Amino acid sequence: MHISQYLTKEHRDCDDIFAKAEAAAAKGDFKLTKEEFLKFADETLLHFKKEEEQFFPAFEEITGSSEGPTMVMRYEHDQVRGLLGKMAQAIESEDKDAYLSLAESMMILLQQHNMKEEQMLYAMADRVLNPQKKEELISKMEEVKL
Amino acid sequence: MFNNSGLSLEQAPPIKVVLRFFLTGSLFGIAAGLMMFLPNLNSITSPQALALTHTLTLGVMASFMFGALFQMLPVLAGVHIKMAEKFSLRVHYGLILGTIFLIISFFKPLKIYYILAFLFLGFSIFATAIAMAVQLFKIEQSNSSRGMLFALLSLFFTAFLGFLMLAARGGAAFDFNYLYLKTAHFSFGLFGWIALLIISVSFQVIEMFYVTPPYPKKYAKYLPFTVFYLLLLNLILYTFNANLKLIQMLVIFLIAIHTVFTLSRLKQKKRANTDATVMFWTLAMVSYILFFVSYILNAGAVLSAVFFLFFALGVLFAMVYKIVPFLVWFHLNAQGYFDAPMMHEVAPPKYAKINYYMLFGALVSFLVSNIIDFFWIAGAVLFTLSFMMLFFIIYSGWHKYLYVLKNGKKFDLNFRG
Repeated sequence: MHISQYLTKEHRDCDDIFAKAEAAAAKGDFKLTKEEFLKFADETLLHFKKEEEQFFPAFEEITGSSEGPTMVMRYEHDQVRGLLGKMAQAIESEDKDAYLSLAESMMILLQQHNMKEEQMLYAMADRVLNPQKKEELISKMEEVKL
Repeated sequence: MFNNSGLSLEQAPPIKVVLRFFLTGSLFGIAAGLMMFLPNLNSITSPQALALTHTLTLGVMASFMFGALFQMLPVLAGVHIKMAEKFSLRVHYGLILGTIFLIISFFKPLKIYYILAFLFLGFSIFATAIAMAVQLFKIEQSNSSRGMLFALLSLFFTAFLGFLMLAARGGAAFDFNYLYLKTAHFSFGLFGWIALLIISVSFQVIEMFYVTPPYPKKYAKYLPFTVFYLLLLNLILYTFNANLKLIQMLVIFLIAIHTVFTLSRLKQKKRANTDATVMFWTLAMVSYILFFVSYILNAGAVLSAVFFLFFALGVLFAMVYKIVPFLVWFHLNAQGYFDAPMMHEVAPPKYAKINYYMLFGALVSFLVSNIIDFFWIAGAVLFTLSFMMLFFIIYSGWHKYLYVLKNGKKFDLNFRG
């Protein structure tokens, strides 16, 4: 399996859960919003952890630098984490407008982040790593737990 | 050492680079709306109609396109536009002055205006198209960046053919059928530059903003390529004084297929919210299908032009309502401001919907004007108001940004471990 297939699928899975949470919020169903949002937050944070603990170090080994694109990606992960906190607050206070507005920012922030990862980092890793290394990296990512 | 907020921002140009282009584009939109009150617009070669067309294409479309390109390329294609601020400022002034001189030249056909239009537009269009295309060539191509590349090449051809026409108007003699030159200029402009730009933007944002199924891979890979080479083939045939209308028809048909694909994707979107941007996209795609039908039925140049215009404007408004509030939030948030306004505070969904109904109302009024003349005036008023509102949204976004920058509470990002 390619790195890009594995990690891109996680992006899409997160998008799907995100959409469910947003749909629930739009209907004012905060119980369901909370349920789906927690799933979304867990999946997103697990994905970040896989990248930060396994994928980025492997990528940094390829490029020989830890101050390049991976540093930007880590920073953007932090921005997403900050927004997750604000969205959780909006759910707690059942503030539909705030949640939907934050959701809009989250969606664009995440998508432009995902684009950079998919089009640059994952694509480059797939080009440079041999199949065995890719498999090893994917199994290591599979073992990461929140 | 990670010690400032600018890392992510380093990849994006300052917000003013983008907003400057957008504000100018809106002002040209207002000017275009006012020009719609001019007489003789029924003849598409009258000075008034030519001035209006170029206000819309260069003043509005090129301004928004350049602003969005300066913003999107770093994200979309991983490209860092060096010296973005200075370069964009020169391009910006060139575009404004060049467009104004070109418009004047339609009313006062003097050589000096042709030369000034050529110099300013030539610099801003060629410099941007070449700089962006060179950057895009260097990267791993996605369907969207490939489409953007063909859109830029088409803009290059459009401008080049336009300059030949300017030279011909200025008295230069060419062994070239002027009518074919005009048709090629207009084909590359509408179906190459504008339509390919919209297609490549849709490849990127439809799936991403609305969580839809992706476009079929091979289709997305080859569509921009096919459209561009068909247009090029047509241009080559023109130079041999041959005119195969079938090719142009095929290009228009391929774009129509894309609009149907886009509508079907929007219908399958997983995000439940139907915000105004979805409505703008839908308006754009339906307008193109109506353009296609009116073209096939030969329903008249003005009607076809109106439909094509709303195809372009629908996407433009949809993008502005996503990009501007996001940028205001993003730039402030990335600098650590607690009170960075949320997207809906910058562009309230209610306002976006009002703006949508204004633009939609303008389209309907223009259509009804085919039966009752007076409705053209109503359409022009609504059109002008639509751009005034867009200007207001962009300006107030800029104002909120500056306000928070001056008065907002800032989080010290150096604390990050």
